[in-house]
Order: sequence, then C-alpha cells, then structure tokens
Amino acid sequence: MRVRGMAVGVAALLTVAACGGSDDDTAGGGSAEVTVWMYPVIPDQDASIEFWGQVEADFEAEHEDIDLTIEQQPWEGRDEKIATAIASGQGPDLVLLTPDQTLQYQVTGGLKPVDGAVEEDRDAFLPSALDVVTFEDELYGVPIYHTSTTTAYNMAAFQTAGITEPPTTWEDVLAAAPALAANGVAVMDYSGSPETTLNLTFYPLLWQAGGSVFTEDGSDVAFDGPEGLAALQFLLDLQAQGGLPADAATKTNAVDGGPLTTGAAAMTFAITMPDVEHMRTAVGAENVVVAEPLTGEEQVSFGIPGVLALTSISEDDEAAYEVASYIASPEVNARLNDAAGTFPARTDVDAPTGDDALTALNDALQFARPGEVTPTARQVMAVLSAQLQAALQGSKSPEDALADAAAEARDLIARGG
Amino acid sequence: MTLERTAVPRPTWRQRVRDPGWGLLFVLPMLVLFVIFRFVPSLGAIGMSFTDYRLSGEFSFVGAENYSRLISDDLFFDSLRVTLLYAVIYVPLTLVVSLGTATLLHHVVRGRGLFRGLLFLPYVTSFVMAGIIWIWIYQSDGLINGALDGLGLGPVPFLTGNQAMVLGSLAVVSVWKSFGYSMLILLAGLKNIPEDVMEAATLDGAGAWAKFRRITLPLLRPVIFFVLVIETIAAFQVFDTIYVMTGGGPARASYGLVYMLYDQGFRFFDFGYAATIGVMLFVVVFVISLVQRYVLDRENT
Repeated sequence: MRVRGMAVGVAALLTVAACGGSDDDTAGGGSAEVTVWMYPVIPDQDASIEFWGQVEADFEAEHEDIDLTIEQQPWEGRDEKIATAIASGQGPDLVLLTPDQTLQYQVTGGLKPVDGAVEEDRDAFLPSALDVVTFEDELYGVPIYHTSTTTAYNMAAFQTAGITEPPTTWEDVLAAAPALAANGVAVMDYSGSPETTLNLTFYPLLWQAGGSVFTEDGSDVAFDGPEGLAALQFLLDLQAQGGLPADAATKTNAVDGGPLTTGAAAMTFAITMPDVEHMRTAVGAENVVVAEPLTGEEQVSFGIPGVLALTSISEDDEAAYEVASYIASPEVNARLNDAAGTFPARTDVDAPTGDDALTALNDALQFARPGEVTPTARQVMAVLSAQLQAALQGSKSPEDALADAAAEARDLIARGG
Repeated sequence: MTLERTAVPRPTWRQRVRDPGWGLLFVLPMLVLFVIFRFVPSLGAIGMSFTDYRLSGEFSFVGAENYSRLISDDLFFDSLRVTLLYAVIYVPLTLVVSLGTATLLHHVVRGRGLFRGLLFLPYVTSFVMAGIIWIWIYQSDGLINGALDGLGLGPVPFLTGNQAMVLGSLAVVSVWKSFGYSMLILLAGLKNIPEDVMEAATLDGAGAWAKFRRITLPLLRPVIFFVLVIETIAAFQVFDTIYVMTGGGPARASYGLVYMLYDQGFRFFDFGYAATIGVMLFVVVFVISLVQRYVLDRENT
C-alpha cells in the first residue's frame, strides 16, 4: 500500500515531468503508421477484437501505404493513460474520446483539429454531434457513433405494488414511491458516488427541470437556480418516501449487481443498451420495459457522440484523417452500431432495429443532450457531486449544498480552472 | 603457519581506496535506477511546481503562483485535515495491531512459520480485489451489518456515515492490508532482545506485563520509531484504499491529499498545481518525521 500510494499518486506524475517533450519528427517517407486507441464500445471482448481486427484489415486492403494499428484499451484509467501518453510523446495518433474529454485535452494542448477528415461529408453528420466538439471554429473530433439513454422499468415490481402503468413524469414517480416502498422497493435508482458521472445522474434531472449546469456563454454556473433546487428536491422527496436505494448517496451506477438487477429498485431514467441486457437477464426480459425519457418540466435524456480525436503527438495528419474518415464512414458506422448497440452519428445510416429497446433508445435521441462542455466542466462536476452527496446524506440543506457548490465553482471559473 | 600469516602484506593505500569503489560498483545498478526513477522525477516535480505545465509539454514559469493559490485553497486545507485525521486513526491502530501480533508470534511455539505466513498474507494480496471485498463486507446489507441485523442492531454506515466513521473504516482496511510488514520488523526486533535480560527479570519476579512494559518496550524503541515513521508516511500517502472504496466521498469525507493531487493531475490535467501539492506533501511528511525523531529519540541519546 505504501508503495502503491506513491507509485500511482506521485511517481507517475513525476515521471510525466521527467519524460516531458514530444519526439522529434522521425517520419522518413514511405508508408505511414497510424495507431488508434479503441475502447470496449463493444462490451463483448471477443466480438470487439474480431470487429476492430476486421476494420484494420479492410482499411489496409484499401490503403496500402498506411499501416494501421487499432489497440484495444480498457475503460479503466483511461484519462491517466491518455494524458501520460500524450505528455511523454509515446501514444496513439487517434483516440476515442467523449466530448468533455475532447475539450479538456484541447485546452491543455493535447489535440490537433480534424476538419481535414470530414471535408467531403461534413453535412452527413448530426449537427449536434459536430457542434459539441467544435472549439474556436475548429473541429476536434470525428463522430463515429452516438450513445443514447432513456428510462427502463421493471414492470414486475410495479405490478406487485398494484401499479400497472409505468410512471412517465416526476409526479407519477413521486406518486408511485410509497406503494413500492411498502414492498421494500425503491421506485427509482440513483447513484451519488463521486466516481459516477453526473451526466447519467443529476444533470438529466436538472435539464428535465428546465435548468442547465452553465449559463449559455459558459461564463458562470446556473445549477444553483430554482431549477437546480427543484431537481435536488425531487430526489430528496423521493428519498424521504423510501423512493431511492438506501445507499443512493454513495453507490455507483453499475446496473449489473446493482438494485435494478437485484429488484431493489424499479426504474431508472438513464439506461444504455448493454445495461438493458443486464436487466433482462436478471429480472426476466418479459418484465423489462424501455420507454421514452422521463419528463419533468421538459423531456430530456443524455446521449453523446463518441469521437476520434487527433493527438498533438501524431506525425502524419493526412494519414490519420484517412483512418478517421474510414472509421466514421457509413459502412463501418452501421456495422459498429449492430455490434455495439450504439446509434448512428450521421443521418445517412439507419439505426439498428429488431429490438424494442433499440427502437426506444433511438427514438430517445431526439431528446438527447450531449452534456455541457466547458473548460471547467469536470472540476465543476466534482465540486457539485460532493455537495449533492452532502444533501443526500442529510448533512446539508439542498439550498446550502447548491449555494456552496456554486460558490466553489465560481472560484474555479474565475481562476480559469 | 604463523610465518605465513605475518607474510600477508598489509593493504596498501591504493587498495584501501579501491575497496569502497568495489562496494559502489555493486550497488551501482540500484543506484542508477534510484536516481532515474526517484531523484530525477522528484527534482522534476519541484521544478514543475513553478510552471503551468500542459499536456503537450508546453509550459511557462509562473513563479510561486501555484503556491499562493494552494495557500488560499480551502480544498487543500480540507484534504490536509482529512489526511491528518486519517493518520491519527491509522498509525496508532496499525502499531497496536502489529505489535500485538508480533508479540503473539514471538511466543508461539508450534507452527510459527504457518502463523507468520497467514498474518503476512494480506500484505501480498492485490489491494483492488481486497478493497472490493471490503466494500461488500461494509455494505448496508453486507457481512457485518447482516450479522448485526441478526442481533437486532441497526445497520452501521461504515462507508456512508460521518467523517470519523468513514475514515475509521478505511483505516481498518489499510491496517488489515499492511500490518504484516510492520509486524515482521517488530518481530525481528523482539528476537534481538537478549534472553538473559528476560531471564533476569523473571528471576526478579517480574510478571508478563511488567516485563513487556519495562523491558520489551524500551528495548524495542528504535524499531518502534522506524515503524512509526514508515507508517506515518504510509498514512500520508493513502490513496488506493480511498480510490477503490469511496472515491473521496461521501461529501469529501475521505478526500485526502494524494487524492486531491490525483484529481488535479489526472482528472483536471493541472500538472503544475498537482506537483505543488506533491511538494507540500513532502514538506509535511518531512517535518512530521523530524518531530517524531526528536520526540522519540530524545531519551535514547
């Protein structure tokens, strides 16, 4: 423990210092080498290896002058690895990022623009998917898929409590809470762990209340307004009626093994396709209903594009554009969506079909927001997450928790992160 | 025989100089690794703390800006307080447990190797796995709370309650994980206490407790000092326990210094600021080690 605390926390960071500075350009003509870091978007490991191996082979068959390597990386420790790779100059040319990561790496000087990769078919992409990774009029990510989340219900739990229609609004959820609580079931799952992104927990509720995390121009936070209070109060009201899991303040949002699969919670407002499968396996496919996003003042869900970003250590940008353009192409897009249960990030690809849940998730895309991407979004999320925990634990009033978080967040913004 | 022995020449001046050279040669591989992986990065971090180092490797010197920001950062003092509180719980606990187990092992007659191995086992266990299992043990419907429930007692919020409860629960896990190392050091210390001193005390009619207090503890003082220092340093570096089990929560109840460093460096990519926290961590640990040395060694010298 003494060794590891040091290794992870300090030594790794120090090594970054020691190895700083990127390699000099060593490209000497001939064939270009492009390395892509890919993540388990396709959760099944064998399927993932096979899929990306095929993409690699197909690409190289078409482009004999480019040597493509797609490396499979785990989700765990993703940022640490990417950050140290870029800082040390030893890493991928293209890497799969989320929009907020893209901005984070862009402002820290870790990325180069990728407009060159979408020159021919820019109009084919979903405008929102491009907007969210466009900074200072330059595109920093090529969308290769889109995620979608929506509500999912364990109807067996509702029916046992005498409720036949799944709740679709905040009022419905609140009304259903006592009957389910009487059976020891929380009506709604919620996860307050600091490791769980607020994009899947508090932010959708905030948006449903009509609020936003930041003001329009990103110069200030806005979550401490009446909408933010309404969203937090909704959670606290549910909690008071036994409507949230007992450990809601600290649990993570893992569906597999969590209350949604053990039957301790009856619904969620932010489920993804792989987690729908976990629920089906656990509580029986016939009991799982996937429906429209939850409605507060507004009907909103969370969904983001996955984008390929070009690192500042890449040596052959043209070759990297070719690769990004290929992986984002309609053919690869359609096959990826089939394999991963994701959705098209472009309008000229049909969504995967053949499953009610896929259809519901695809329909939910029209309500999807890709999060709020500002240079301090992550720090603000960490600050807010800690204060929300305090409110859910009852150690702070909702007003105080939001006000304290806002004050701290404003300090951060004033300092520029 | 005697002739031959006197015939051996005395080492020349040159040979005497060369001897340390040979020694140096033997430790050279370790020394090189140490310099590359410890000294250089440490100096790099100190240098980095005066910059606004970015991912791309670009940076400019910002003087003491990171330090003035740190001094006005409430979060830094909060995390320092968390770390101190954790150390106050962890260090005495681990000392008592390792001293207790070492004393037991010292007196075990049969199967000494087996018991020593069993007690040392947690130290060589993967902490991430152990952490996940401890989360299950601590859960509101976990092992301990399940047993308490059987006795009609309410669930104890080990990892979800107030700060003292959370840090105490984390300290227990850390102690479980790492007492084996200190135990072995203390055991070696116990074995070094001369038998005749103990025998004399027994003849003088001293009981077990009196022997432990009047003889074992004073003679163990240098070893205890060493254990205290390394365990204090370990307490200040606590990271993996928190990372795996609480993520710094709930509501920053376990947000320690190294966790803050990790957040600044690897979540927010503010390497300059993270390095500043690292330097401050070094200063704090250094000062505390000096104080401990002064307090514990005072009577010895």
